[in-house]
Amino acid sequence: MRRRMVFTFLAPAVLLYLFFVMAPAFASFYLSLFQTSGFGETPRWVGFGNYAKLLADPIFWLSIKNMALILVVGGVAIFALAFLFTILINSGIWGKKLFRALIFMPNVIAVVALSTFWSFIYMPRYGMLSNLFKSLGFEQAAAISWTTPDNIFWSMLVGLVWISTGFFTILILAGADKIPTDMYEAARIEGAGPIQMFRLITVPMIWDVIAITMVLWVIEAIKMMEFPFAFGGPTPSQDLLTPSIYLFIMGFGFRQPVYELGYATAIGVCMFLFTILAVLVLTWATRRERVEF
Amino acid sequence: MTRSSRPLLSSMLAGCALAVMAPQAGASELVFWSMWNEPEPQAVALRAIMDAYTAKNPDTTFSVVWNGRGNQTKLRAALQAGTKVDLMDQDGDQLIGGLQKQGLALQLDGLVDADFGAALLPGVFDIYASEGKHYQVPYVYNSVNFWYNTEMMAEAGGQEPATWDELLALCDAVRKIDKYALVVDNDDTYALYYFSYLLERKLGVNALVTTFEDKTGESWRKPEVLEAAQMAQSLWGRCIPDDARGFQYPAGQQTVALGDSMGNLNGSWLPAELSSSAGEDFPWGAFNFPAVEGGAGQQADLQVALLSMIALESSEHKDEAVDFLTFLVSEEAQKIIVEQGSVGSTRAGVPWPAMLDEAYQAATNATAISNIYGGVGVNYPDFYTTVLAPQQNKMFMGEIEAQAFVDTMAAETKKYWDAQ
Repeated sequence: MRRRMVFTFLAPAVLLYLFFVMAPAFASFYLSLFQTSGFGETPRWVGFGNYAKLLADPIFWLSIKNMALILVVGGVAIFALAFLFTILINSGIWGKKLFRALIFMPNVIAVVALSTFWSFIYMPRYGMLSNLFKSLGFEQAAAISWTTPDNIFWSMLVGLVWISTGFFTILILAGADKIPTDMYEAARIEGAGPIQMFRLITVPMIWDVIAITMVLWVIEAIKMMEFPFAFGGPTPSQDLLTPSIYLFIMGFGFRQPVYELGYATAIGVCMFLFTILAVLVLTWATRRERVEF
Repeated sequence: MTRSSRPLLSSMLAGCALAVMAPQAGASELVFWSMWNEPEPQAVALRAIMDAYTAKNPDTTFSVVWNGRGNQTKLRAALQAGTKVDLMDQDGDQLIGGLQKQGLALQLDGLVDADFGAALLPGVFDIYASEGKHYQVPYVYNSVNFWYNTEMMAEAGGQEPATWDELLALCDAVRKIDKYALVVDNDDTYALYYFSYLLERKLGVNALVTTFEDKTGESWRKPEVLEAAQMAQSLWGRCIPDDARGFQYPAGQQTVALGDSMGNLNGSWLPAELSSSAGEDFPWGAFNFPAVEGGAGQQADLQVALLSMIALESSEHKDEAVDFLTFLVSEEAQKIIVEQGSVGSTRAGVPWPAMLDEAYQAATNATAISNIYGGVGVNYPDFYTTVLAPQQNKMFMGEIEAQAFVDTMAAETKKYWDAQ
């Protein structure tokens, strides 16, 4: 009886999930086995042809390289900053809530507005960075063009780190706030500094929170699109290409009517597989015995 | 009101309501999906044209979906879902590779007068025809010219150049007043203007497409291709400031409005795009891409990006839709486009807005027109997007040598055709 009731109550949610999530996911995989523009013509069966083409596509691998750099380099920078902010905010400074709000602020601003802001920072000749260096007398630094093809990816990544850090800081802070304060007081009495307390108390106590935030970052990094896309202007250069942007270009036409919907769907399926793989690896790598308090 | 009169009154009201709701005999509502956003001047102009059409044909009304620039992509999904659409508009080159290629656009031959194209500017009706069959009615004319500040040119003592050497001399003159004659934005597509125009001036109209369509890839090794690439690269430092490599759109073109650069090779939409920063009274001038010595192309050849409207093959109101397309390029409608939309008309004899006057003269006197960015994107959008535009940008921005660009294009072209 009890089991029957469980099934009855779960059924609506399961059915909705199957219909709106699983069915489209399987349909997408099925679509990736065809060559189609999506305009209603009869799709042509190509089997795993789209995947074979992907493996030999240098642009796809370039997008994967960019994604990996965002994931690893961006991830290291974001979590380093998030930990630093956590240490500083939890060190008993004045205006904790104000700083927390300021750090989170970029998350409530539209990505397009943020990308415009960062473009203005980097703009050669008139930009904030250029004028700052000029005012400090660093003429050589002021003459650097941060958005040339050589530099644009790293300039974008700096902006992306700035935007993303706040969200992960807030998550880590929320976990850290639950740690009993007497543990920190005891550590202080024993002579521990902020970094020692963070390393030996905060990190072990909120390890599960950190692991979850890392998983969230991995998912976000793999499907990264908005900021690099908006930062790159109407036709972002290949230096900014991520798998999501490449998927969009191939499936939705961009400026040119490419419309290779089957190929684009294959990119989407690959991104899904990357996500699953990365999350599994990360979950395995971050497994620890849970600390209860 | 007496109890007995209530049923009578109710019946009368119901009758009136039914009369209002019932479709009038012969009435039709054309569903139009548009590439414009509703507040844009071009959308306002189109709305006025539809109103003018309805005033003449009271039985035909319009239901408009203002989709913005992703119109064709949104329509793709809608058509698959069975949505009925009669008319849509988009850049003509994008339509060729989209709805037109898929056989979803209504062929106009036989439905419009045989001399339909004669009333339009040279080449306009034919440019988007496929194998001689017409599907599109171009109704907005955008041309690619040098757009410049006439006062700055006068200050530099220069004049509109007719040849490449004269352009370089003009650049030198402008450098003497501590400005640069030209500026670009670091953008894959905009950067292609120079190389594609240079190649067309050297080898003739549609040279870039012709070069690509040589399936061996060997056409890229013609000396003119390398020369065109080197000439494009030679502009840096002399005509275009080096820091422009870092200008993200629209930072580069804004320097024209700010008075730091004299001009920009761009579409005729540039004055409208910069109007808020340059001001309505900015002294715009325009000239064609100059001729090159010994080249097969003429200075009067023009790259264009026309905006077209099509009727859908699946339309249930084909006659009305085609009739509206005919009206769209009538003198009356095109004057509305010019006056309210501030854009160029595709109809001969309808002057463009004053600030576009020189572009109008160029369009009227065009010896040939070709597609924007050299036209490779029209029929080969995948190659254009993934290979040509990015590689050309690398070459133009100086990341790779001109010879390396030629070698890459020759190899990639062969690879592309071998895979077909």
